[in-house]
Amino acid sequence: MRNAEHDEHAWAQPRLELLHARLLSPADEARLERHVQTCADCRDTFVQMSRLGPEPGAHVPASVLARWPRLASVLPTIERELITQHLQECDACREELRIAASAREAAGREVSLGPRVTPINTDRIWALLATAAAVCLALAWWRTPAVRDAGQPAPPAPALPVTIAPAPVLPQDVMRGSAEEPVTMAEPRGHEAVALELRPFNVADSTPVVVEVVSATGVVALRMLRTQGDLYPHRQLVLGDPRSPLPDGDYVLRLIARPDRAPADTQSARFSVRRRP
Amino acid sequence: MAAARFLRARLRRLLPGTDGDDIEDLVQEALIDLIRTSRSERIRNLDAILTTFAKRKAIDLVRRRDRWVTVGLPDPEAPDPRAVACWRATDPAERLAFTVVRFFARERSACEPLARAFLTGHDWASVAAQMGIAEAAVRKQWSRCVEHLRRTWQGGALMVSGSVWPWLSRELDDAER
Repeated sequence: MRNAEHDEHAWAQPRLELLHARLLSPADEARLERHVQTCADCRDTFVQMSRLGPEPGAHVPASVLARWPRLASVLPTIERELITQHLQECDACREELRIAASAREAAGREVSLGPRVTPINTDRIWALLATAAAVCLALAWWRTPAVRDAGQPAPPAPALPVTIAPAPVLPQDVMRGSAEEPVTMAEPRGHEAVALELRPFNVADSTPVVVEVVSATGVVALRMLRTQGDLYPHRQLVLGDPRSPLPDGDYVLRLIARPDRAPADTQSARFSVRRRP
Repeated sequence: MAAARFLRARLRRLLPGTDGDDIEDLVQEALIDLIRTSRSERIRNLDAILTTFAKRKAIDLVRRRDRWVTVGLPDPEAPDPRAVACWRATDPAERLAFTVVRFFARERSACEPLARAFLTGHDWASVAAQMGIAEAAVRKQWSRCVEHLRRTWQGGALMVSGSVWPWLSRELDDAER
């Protein structure tokens, strides 16, 4: 029995790529799909292949779909026909086209509400300022939701059919330093601050990171709020305040990601400040 | 739509001085990419992925315009210059792939898997092994598909103001060799 499974796996492995490219015969495709459902290894491999990108020609290119209304008139006949035919058959592409059109429409409304910029004539500066003030007041009044909605009922913006995972993943091992290998530090010339060399964060996002420097006595000497994006791709974190520099001593640097969670993800490293004589 | 606003702001910063319509087109493209990505994997951080898409789209716009110049395709004789600008902002490689695959799917279904193999970079030996025929036979079959494509397209179906996609012949010739 085990041999049969092994044989099936050996048969399936080299054909996964062909399945992704839809190159298998219907019988082989059905056989391989049955195997993929039962074999975790093959399933993982197939999912990885799917992530490489959609198969070519599966859907209308995004660059065409985004410009479709204006592009339709200048495309070659056969290309226009093929796209139109695909749009009639493919629900996904139609939905994407609808969302793109709605976003464009929403953008048009925002632009139409904005003020028009005209060159300023210095001879009539006061008159223009007064006009600008009046325009601003009018816009402020117009942008009040109740007023705007009363004059021009705006359809609700469509929600993007995108699922967001509930919390970002904290990158592990974000610091160069560890208990065995302390972080390296340098005193920037002319500044009463320390620069800690870090491994860059691998996620350039806006996840909050609380940066704390705790002295040997347990007193929080410095506390600031940063985002991972602030620290990416910079390899150095400059700490300190010129008005109250860190005194000589031993410290612990703590990076607390997702501080709103309990327990928060904390990573720490020791460093020392020693002024050169 | 917050995602669109975010993308618009990023793209304006990345492409200062670019026409507003071009920015808006790139925003739509990035939104479509976002939706397509979300179908294949879960998005963990929206800010991060939108920032990445904005950067890619900014680079794409510059590359595409250069690519159209490189392949030497004349613009369509459209009275509206904005439509011509639209044309030049599309991705020629993606358009070619879509058109070839869909054309074969409609006209000659036996050629469709070969076209996919050609576009995804499969070697004919592995395709032949899978189909259980000789590699020479696969090449011959693909050659016939290409011949059919050429005959149909150059026969007028793809002619727009006298221009056929000129790089297509070169690429297909290279593939046949």
